[in-house]
Amino acid sequence: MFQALESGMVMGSIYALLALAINIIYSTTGIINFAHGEIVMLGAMFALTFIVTSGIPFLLGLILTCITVAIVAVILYYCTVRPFGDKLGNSLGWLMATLGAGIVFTNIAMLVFGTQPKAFPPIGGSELVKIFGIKLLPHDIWVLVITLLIALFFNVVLGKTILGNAIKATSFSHSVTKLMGISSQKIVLTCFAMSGIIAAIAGILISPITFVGPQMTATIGLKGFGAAIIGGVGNSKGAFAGGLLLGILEALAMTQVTPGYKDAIAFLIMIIAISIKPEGIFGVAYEKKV
Amino acid sequence: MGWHMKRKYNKEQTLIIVLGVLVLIGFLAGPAAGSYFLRLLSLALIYLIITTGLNIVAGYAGQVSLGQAGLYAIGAYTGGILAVKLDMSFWVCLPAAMAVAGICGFIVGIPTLRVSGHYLALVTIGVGVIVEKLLVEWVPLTGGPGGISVPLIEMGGQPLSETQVYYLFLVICLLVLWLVKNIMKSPVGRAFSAIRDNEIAAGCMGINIMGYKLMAFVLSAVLAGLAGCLYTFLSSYISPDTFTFNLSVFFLLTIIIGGQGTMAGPIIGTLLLTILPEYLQALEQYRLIVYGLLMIVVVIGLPYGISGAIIRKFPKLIEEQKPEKIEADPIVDKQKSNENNTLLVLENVTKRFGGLNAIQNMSLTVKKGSVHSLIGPNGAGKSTMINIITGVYKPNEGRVVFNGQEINNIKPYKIALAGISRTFQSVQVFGKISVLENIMVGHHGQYRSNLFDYTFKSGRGRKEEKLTRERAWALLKMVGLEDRASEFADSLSAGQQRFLEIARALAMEPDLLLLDEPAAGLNEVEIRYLAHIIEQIKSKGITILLIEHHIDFVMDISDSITVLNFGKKLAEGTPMEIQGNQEVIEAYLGKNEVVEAC
Repeated sequence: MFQALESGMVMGSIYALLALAINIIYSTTGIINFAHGEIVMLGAMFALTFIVTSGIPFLLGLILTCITVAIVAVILYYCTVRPFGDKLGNSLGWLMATLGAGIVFTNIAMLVFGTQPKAFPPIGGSELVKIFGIKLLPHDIWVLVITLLIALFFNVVLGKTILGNAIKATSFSHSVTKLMGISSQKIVLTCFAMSGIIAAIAGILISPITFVGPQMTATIGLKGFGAAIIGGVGNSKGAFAGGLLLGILEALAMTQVTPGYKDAIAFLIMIIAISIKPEGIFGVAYEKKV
Repeated sequence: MGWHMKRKYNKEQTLIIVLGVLVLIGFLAGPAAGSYFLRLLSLALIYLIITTGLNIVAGYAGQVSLGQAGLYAIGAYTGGILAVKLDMSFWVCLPAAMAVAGICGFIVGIPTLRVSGHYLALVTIGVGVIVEKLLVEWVPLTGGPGGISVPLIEMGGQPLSETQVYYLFLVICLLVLWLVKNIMKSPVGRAFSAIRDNEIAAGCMGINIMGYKLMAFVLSAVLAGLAGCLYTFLSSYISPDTFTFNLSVFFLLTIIIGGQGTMAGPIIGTLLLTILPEYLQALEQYRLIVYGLLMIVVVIGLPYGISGAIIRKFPKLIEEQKPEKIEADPIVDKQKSNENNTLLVLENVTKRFGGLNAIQNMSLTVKKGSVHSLIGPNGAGKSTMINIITGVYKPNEGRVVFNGQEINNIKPYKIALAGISRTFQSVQVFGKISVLENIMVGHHGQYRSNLFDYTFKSGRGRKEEKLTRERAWALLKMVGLEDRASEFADSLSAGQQRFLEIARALAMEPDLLLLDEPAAGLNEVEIRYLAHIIEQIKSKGITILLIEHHIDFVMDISDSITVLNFGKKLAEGTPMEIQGNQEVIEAYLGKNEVVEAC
């Protein structure tokens, strides 16, 4: 039971980590980046190349990975989101474009890195430690702590800083934001780069758990969207809570049914949550104005 | 295309028909190309059925679905399991697969009543994943990863040959295309497009949005089930790895490239994405990369797909044939001898947005056959009143009574069907259907035919459709837009869209017409024309509730006027009385100030 709770919290943190990055893009553009899972996968791939294959020290490798993936995220923005202009809410073109980008990323990764999943060393070594009678990997603790820190960071950035205000203004209207002397373009690019950095960190954190392969985030990515929506899109607190909730419910359900149903259960939870409360746990429902 | 109708085709339309016939001949000649190619063509027919179904929900009704492979799998496995476990023949499996998939489509459709856009994308993806996992894990039923082997299709005790199966599929496919075309060219298809283009306006046209969205999901699921069952008997072996998320994306890609919301879209898309890649074997390794890139390039470069781009390049393709003479009466006479003199009553209505009282304790009585105007400064609550009457907003307190019936707690579409139609302050036309079709959507609530009538083109359905068309042309002529009938409504100027909205509202044959700032943005000539139209409407016994800022215009045509300020009633009376009311003058011009009114 506690073991299930613990593994649920770890997976939940990872979903939350994805949800946070999805949120940061949503909060300025109002779109959901359907290629985000694949960007996380690229983060893992680059980390593997830099840290394991090339033997670059961990911290330097981490920074390199973050920079590379941030660049990929910015390129993604120019190729799949920018062409649709400022009024993104009116079409679902970006949805197909980001999905397409995801397919491209996966298949390029297959060509370059091969389809075979590879191992990645966990942070803090593979010795089990015992806390309150539960055996766990130091890596699991790292995952929880780092996710919590990032969630707190975004909570502060979005809620308390001028950048946060600029981000919210951009999400409301690109043109009005421009009139206020803020380059909405720069704000959007900053957000995409930030989402890339979190994706890189997420990639490194996931790798020891799932192994590194082109398909590693195929369903994790989708569950990240689910976590974001369950918590209320655009809300850092919600992303964290939604991720943990999804992870824990999934793990608890696993104690009752066979592991093969894991994804099915997670998506069922997600669908029910969306149907009952589309605005999410921390979201606010607005009356549609005419 | 209906050959039975005496209809003239212009040059462009003829060309398309010839092209269509050529494609059909190509399919008819399929067996000549050998066994491998024949299998590919059979698969193309199956894909054409499923993408035509997907086009109903995603293209026409605008509800994105990324779980179509799941419904396809449900059809395939229903067919396979019935054939193997219960030893049923193909002819029983087929309707069973359609029914089971249809029920599942209904369930998938339920979340759409609450969400759309990317939320819906995620829900449908989730459904696809759940089905995929069930296929692998529910081993006793599905055979698990090993799949199921299925016997051949038999007819009269004899198994059909490959060629016979192919021709059977071709017949089924043509039948599906014909039936779907009938539905899409009927009020049902127009209702789908109206929901896609503007949900709120569609509701105010008397379209049951929830019902039609569900119907779109069920129709597309039934076709997915049909296609799935055909696939089972074509390949005689099914396993879970066929029905992946990537297949769902592929189906959506097919209609996006071909062109959503047109009958030709899935045909073009299927020909391009199913048959062509076989000639690009060299690509094999890069095929998915090419698909992914194609998705990005197409949604950016060809947002309406190939058929949409062709239609926009050659608008004559969708030209509506203007009737020789337009003689139908545009406005239905509503003058009935009825002793009840009041049509609409608002009693103590309050509407709050958060802490703001948009409307406070408002009472209003509108007399039958009158032109009643609401005036007042911006923010006085005039449009909120209209939105309350039409059910777009629910009042926090108070009652709205129309024709003796309390309407403050029923859905907008039911209020519309009860006889209230409206225009919008910011115009809300159905942009991606033609001007003529916009008006025909307005007539939606007048139909007595059902889905069966439309699908099989019964006499009743055709008669009603003809009547609607005639009335729509007459209304177009009345508002002076008959030369723009075939154009997309969003290509009209703002002023023209206002007139289109009035014509569309009149097509609903209302008892009460709510006009929300109809003269906004119109020039002097157009305003005079508008006054003329309003006179015409009034003469037919239709009651009008008008919101307008052009005071001269209001004074000229109103029987009574209610003045609002800050959500409260300031004054009420005839135009003469209002002009002399001191409070009204103060509300408009301010107190103790000498202002030269222009």
